[in-house]
Amino acid sequence: MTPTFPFSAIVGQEEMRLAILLAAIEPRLGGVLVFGDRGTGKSTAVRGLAALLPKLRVVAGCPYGCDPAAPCDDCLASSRVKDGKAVRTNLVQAPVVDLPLGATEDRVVGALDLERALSQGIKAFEPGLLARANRGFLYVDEVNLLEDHLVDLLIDVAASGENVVEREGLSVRHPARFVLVGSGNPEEGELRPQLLDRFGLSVEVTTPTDLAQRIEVVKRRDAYERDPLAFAARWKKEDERTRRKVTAARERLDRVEVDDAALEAAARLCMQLGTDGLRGELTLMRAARAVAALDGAARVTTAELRRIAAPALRHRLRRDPLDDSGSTARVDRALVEVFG
Amino acid sequence: MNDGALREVVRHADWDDASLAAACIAVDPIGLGGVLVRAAAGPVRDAWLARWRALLPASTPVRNVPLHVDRDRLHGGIDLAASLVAGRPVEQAGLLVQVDGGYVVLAMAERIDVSVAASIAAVLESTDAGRGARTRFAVIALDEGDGDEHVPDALVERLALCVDLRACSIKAVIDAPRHDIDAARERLPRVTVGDDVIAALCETAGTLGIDSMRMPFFALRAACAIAALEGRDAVDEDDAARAARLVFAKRVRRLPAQDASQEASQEASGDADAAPDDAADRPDPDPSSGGPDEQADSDPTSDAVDAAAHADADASPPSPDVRESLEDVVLEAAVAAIPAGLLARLAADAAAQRAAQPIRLCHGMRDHRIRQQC
Repeated sequence: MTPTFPFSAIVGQEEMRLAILLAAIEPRLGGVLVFGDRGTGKSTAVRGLAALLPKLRVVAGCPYGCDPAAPCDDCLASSRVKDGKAVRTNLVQAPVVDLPLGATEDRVVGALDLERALSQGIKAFEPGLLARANRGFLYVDEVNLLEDHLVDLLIDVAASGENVVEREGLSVRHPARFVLVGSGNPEEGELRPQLLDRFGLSVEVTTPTDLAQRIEVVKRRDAYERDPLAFAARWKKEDERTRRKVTAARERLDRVEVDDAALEAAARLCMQLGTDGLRGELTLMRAARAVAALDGAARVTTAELRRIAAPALRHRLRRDPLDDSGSTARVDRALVEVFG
Repeated sequence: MNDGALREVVRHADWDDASLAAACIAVDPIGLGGVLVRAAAGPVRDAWLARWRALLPASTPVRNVPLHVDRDRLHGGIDLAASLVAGRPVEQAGLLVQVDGGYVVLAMAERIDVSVAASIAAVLESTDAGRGARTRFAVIALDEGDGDEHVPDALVERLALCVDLRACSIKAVIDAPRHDIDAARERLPRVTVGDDVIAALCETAGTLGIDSMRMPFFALRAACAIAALEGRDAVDEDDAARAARLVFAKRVRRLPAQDASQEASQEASGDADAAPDDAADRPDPDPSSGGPDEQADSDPTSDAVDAAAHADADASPPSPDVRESLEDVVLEAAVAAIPAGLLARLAADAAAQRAAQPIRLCHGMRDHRIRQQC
């Protein structure tokens, strides 16, 4: 199989790369939305993410890839788990599942297993994409073009972490905890606010204006297309290093200290911006902590808050009819007002 | 040169570009992704399709995909009839898998549902057809849109080549040089590209406001295909310039010189009003019929208009005393092939932007209109 374009070989786009790394480090962040111009490497970056994720330990044979430490109902009811312990476990690649536009609902949520229904007359559930994405990432390219009924479904499942299937005579519920990653081009349609809110970080990408950078992008893409294997081999070490950084950051994450001063600074920033609810502050804190973990810092300071404020907050601003400056500019201004 | 003769030349240029695009996509379907063919159904388009088909190796799969194709047929699913006969589910490979190594022809692509277009685009790029199947193919998107409708951007973005046959008369359909596709395919992997060519393509795309980084890359692939067709092992200046015509010209969003004079842009916007959304005729580029006269020579925008009209008539560069860099050659070639309707609109845009700097309300709409052009 052709290897994907290595994450490390992406030129520039620091904010996007940081946001994707943070999502890999801290799944509770709630995923990343990458919005911007076409042809800026959005989907390339997301597809490169899989190679950076630490492997997952799963109950062998579980269709939802559940954690041996917390087996799902399906596993508990089966012979895969005995006395609350998994009989066999596997170490697998964390899933990064593509949700294609125009996917049918039965393919997303799962459906009646036709094969078994027809051949054996058994009513069985055939898991869908949401099942496969459990404990991993669900990627929707062109997320703003996703049909409404699929958006509704995602909003619901992303919030509850559980997929409830009541259709075709089936009644199934299974864990579907995934990190949502979306990308799109805002010129072609807006995202429903409820879905927007599900994303922890929102990144704006623009095409590189620096000629040298543009040339490098084209050169690397050309090298990759000509010989994907050789290109991937050349970047393997770098990807490996990034993966170790992610793994190390995950381990450090819980030890990163968030003191009252940092909490207060985050709260002041959110108040200044008038973001809705507490989700903004929570995301800002978690993201700043993940940044600190990535950098190997012991505690969150205003430096981390500054670095991640725009992606954590820019999609949570209320529209201000008297202020037509972009949301990034508004966050930057608030940063200056609050932190000086 | 009189009007009629000039038009004839322009039309021939369109046909030449289209012929070259047909040869390119025959040589490198996978690298180039496909061709957007803007043309009404008719003998000219038929001639182009016939020419393209004639270039393909005999066993190449080509499938016409109708607008009403359903998802299962496109991406694979249960074969209902076979399943009922067999008493067990029989999977059927989708069209996109069946066409592996070949071409999908989308008729009336301007009417295609956005999600269908995006799903084809996704397979085109990821080669992942679902259920573990891999497929690589190219798309020939036939666009009969007359301005209101356009092929979804998600798809257009993944097709390297744009050809426009709407201004091309059947008289222009002449025999283009025969190419040895097999030899070119065999040569293609060996074709090398100098850094100067890559730089020139990147710079040109940037100058013309073409943001997507796919486009300079596509132009690079097209230049390699052209070099392979010409039997060369390295891309030269001419290959790069011709690739820029095929890839960039219909996607231009900004003219190279922003400080065009007022008169020229008014002239251009007048033309845009007279011929909204790319009527079949190009606006009259002949200075003697009331366009900008002396002023035109010193004016960058009308230079561009001029270049578009005269590029094939006389190859004299705007400033002959300056030795042209590779960038200039590539840029000029791309500008020369901008369709007249788009060119007029871009000039009008530049003028409007100067006239109303602070008001940017309609900007998005205008962008949208420009994208429709491509």
